[in-house]
Amino acid sequence: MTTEPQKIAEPQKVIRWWHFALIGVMIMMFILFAAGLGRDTKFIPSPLVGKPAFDFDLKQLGKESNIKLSDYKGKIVILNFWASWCVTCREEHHVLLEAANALQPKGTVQFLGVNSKDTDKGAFGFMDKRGHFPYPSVIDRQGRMALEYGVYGMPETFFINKDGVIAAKHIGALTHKILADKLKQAEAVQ
Amino acid sequence: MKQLIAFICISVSLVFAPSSLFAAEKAQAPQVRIESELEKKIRIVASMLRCPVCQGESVYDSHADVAVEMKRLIADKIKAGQSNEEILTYFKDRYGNFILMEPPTEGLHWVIWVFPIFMALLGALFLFQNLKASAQDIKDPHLDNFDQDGQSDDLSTEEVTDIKELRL
Amino acid sequence: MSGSLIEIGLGATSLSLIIAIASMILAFLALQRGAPSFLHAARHGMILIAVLTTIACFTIIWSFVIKDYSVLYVAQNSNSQLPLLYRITALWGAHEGSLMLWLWFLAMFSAIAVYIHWKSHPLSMPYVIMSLAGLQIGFMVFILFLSNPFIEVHPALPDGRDLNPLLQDPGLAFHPPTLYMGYVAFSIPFAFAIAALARGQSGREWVVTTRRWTLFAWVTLTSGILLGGYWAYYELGWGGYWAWDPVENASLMPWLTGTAFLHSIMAQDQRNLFQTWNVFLVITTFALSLLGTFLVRSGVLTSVHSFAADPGRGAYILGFLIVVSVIAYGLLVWRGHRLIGPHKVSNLISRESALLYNNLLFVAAAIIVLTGTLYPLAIEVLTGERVSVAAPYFNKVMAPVMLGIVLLMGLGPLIPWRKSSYKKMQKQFSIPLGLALFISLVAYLLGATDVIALIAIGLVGFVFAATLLDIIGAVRAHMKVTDKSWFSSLSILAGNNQRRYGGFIVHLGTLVLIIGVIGSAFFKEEATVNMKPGDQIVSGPYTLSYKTIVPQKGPNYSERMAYFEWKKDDGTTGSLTPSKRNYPVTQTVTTEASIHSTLLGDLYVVLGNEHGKGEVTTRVFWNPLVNWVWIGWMIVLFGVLFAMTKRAPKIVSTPKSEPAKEAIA
Repeated sequence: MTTEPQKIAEPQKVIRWWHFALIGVMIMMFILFAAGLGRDTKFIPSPLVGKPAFDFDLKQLGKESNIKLSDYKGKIVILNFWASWCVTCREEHHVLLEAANALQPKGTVQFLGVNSKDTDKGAFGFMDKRGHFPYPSVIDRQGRMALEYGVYGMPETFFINKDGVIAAKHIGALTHKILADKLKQAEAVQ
Repeated sequence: MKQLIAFICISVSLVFAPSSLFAAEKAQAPQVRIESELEKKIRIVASMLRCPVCQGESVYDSHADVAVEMKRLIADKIKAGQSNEEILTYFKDRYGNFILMEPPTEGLHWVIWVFPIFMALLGALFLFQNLKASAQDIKDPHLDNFDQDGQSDDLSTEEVTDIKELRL
Repeated sequence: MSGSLIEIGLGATSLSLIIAIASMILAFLALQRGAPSFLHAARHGMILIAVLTTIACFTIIWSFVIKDYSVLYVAQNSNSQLPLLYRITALWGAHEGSLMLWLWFLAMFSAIAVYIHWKSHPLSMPYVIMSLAGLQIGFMVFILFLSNPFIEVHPALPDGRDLNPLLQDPGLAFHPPTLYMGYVAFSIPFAFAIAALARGQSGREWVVTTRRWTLFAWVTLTSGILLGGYWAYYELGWGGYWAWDPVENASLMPWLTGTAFLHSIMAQDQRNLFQTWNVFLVITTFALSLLGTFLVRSGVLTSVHSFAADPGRGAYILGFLIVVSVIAYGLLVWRGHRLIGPHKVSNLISRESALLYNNLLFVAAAIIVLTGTLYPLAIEVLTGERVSVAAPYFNKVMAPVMLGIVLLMGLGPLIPWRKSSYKKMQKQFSIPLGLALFISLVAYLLGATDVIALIAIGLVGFVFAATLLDIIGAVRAHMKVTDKSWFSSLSILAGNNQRRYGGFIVHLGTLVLIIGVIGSAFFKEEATVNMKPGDQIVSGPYTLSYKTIVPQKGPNYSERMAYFEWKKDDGTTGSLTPSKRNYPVTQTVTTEASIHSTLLGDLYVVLGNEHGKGEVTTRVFWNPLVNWVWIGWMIVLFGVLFAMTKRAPKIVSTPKSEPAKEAIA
């Protein structure tokens, strides 16, 4: 017992079931992690895609009249949830302005904003500073509309096809590329 | 003494009950708040939903704006007579299963619920195997040597050694 | 001048990397060529690394202290208004510094381990040094190339961004380092496990050494977890201390397997059983510590705690994890059979089988936590769907496992080694069992209805009674033999048997902790109500009246503080002041709970939104016995200290010769 005792005899090497179990579990876990690393953690699929969009009837921002989603039946509607306090909304603002100016004159696409959980003062302050949308926004003061559309956090944009069905959704700031891709999906779905 | 005080309190509150009801009507007077049925139901439903922006907390536990609005919506729905299931389904249809604090017991998600039971069975199987093996090993020569040390059964090995050492 | 200081830190870390590589090679050469001087050099290398990383950490802390915003990490995680304490603790306020702290602990523990075990583990030393140096290299490369805290910006920034306000709290000042220390301390048993596998034996010294280090790591990890719980309890403002958050789960997994090891190593110590299994547990515990780091730092799982997510860093940690696992588990599969001794578990009712059941339960618990934590990730990768597995799931699934563990806590230590019988068990446990049923019945009559709660209460009574009766029995037997008073008998017994009695103390502490968990989990009263000034609410034995809400100013925040007065049904009174804080620099709002804490329970108040005219949403909790959790932890700490102060068993003759020479011989 002076140091660690010497081995008496070399025990038999046997391959056991746990060898396979251990190796199998390890490989599975590592594949899982590797696959998990590349993905976008912000992306959460919406069960609303492929379903008819909720038809709202809400007061228009800065006007007395109301807007219904069904007013735009026959057009593709790009429904954008925004708020003046939303930092990422500032990022995508120019994309919305440019895209709306380019696409709307064709007559097949209609942009629509939903000013969610905001004040009129805040909303106009935001637009005065960064440019007014070339399309109307409706007021969702309490944020109920956002809940109705399963909005996680602003900005979120829904692409509703001609039949009033949600064809695609984007969470986070839009870019021209994302907008074009999603728009294509809305055009393709009949 | 305590009972007496309680009695007085109860009688006093009974006497003043009608007036306190009036006070409640006026809405601004101070009152003893207890969690109402509504608030209790909100707590139960909101605890089963996950706050969409905080991603770890339940809607009930969260102070985030979305969670606050969700609690208001839940309150409205309860007032409208909806059941817990209906409210949960409302959110599930809009946010997906992600919004539920635990996976639903449906489809593939049975896996996560059955897994612990599967583990228990596996453990039982392992023990059963062990039992068989130990029945065969009862004639282990090493054991016989150990068993002859004549130690008391009521004490642990360590304690026996201690007592022996003390005697020396 | 200050710029050059942080450069010293960078230089020291870079130099450490070179020395670590050299030490690893030297240890390898010592093994291959049999040159003792090589191993000596490797040892000096390990100690030098400890010194150099200490210097490196110090340079970062000093940069925080002197508010040197030319250091990017300092600028990102502190602010000129930040108090000194938090400027120091800001070292681990974010990713880069946390890893530096990891490395520092690793370097310190490595140096200590190599120094104190140099003589007692001559043949294992080359492998131990190689393993530890390998781990150090992994972290150093990561720090230097992917998460460098020494980066400078010129010209210096005028002022820093603030430290995450959640972290500006004395509780959190000590939670992460304690947790990291626990994680890192498992690397020493890990290194010895690698050595055991490489050499094909895990002898007596191996048992002593790994047990000691694991016990130290375990108690540190336990403290880290509980400090985190304590912090969550009064800082996060949801009235609880454990949320089954992925990050919490990540720290629980190594704790579970570590606890399993601390139990099963007894079987190896006393009966030469479970050798391969023990090595497996040591490796798994450390691998799970690394996994925890990966999960927290890679952003693979979304969590409240994962502050900085970076897939590049995630990929590196994953790679590191894979390398460590492949080597360690590969060695286990390849050479694990060499460790197995001739003995087997001989009886289903014996201490060794109780330990086996204990291990099954602990490992099952770890696997359940692991699958629950990874399930959302697996589902997303496989089907693209997103789901949540949160507290309700874990509470349901873990409760039965935990109850089983508590039951074994009463049975295991009292069943003799090798063999017992049903008859003996009956004699030993009939009184505690009766008591357990009685307590459960009383609890039921007092209004407890939850089945799990009733079983848990009964089990706690059972374990308490069984343990106490056993100790009383031993003391009595001792008194008969020695004619001493019960007190001196007990102290002699405990003094001679520090490990066993230390274990008892740890178990009793755990029981106290469990009582706290039962009280606060099953008998909590909570309510969320809108309150106007003057309103009252009843919670537990307290009546709470809301007075007013006022604005206040702190050093780096402004807050709205509400003033409550409470009155207990025994006539005592006091006040509570929960608040909502706004940190302007980071634009974040935190809620500060206000707690009236007693041994019987906590009255806990936290504010929600304000609705004008002083009306505010208020959450009120009555958390019975919650403080027992923290008291139980202190008892556990004491028990571990008691067990650890036992000197290592005398080895018949210590090796006189130099280890390296013997390694060659």
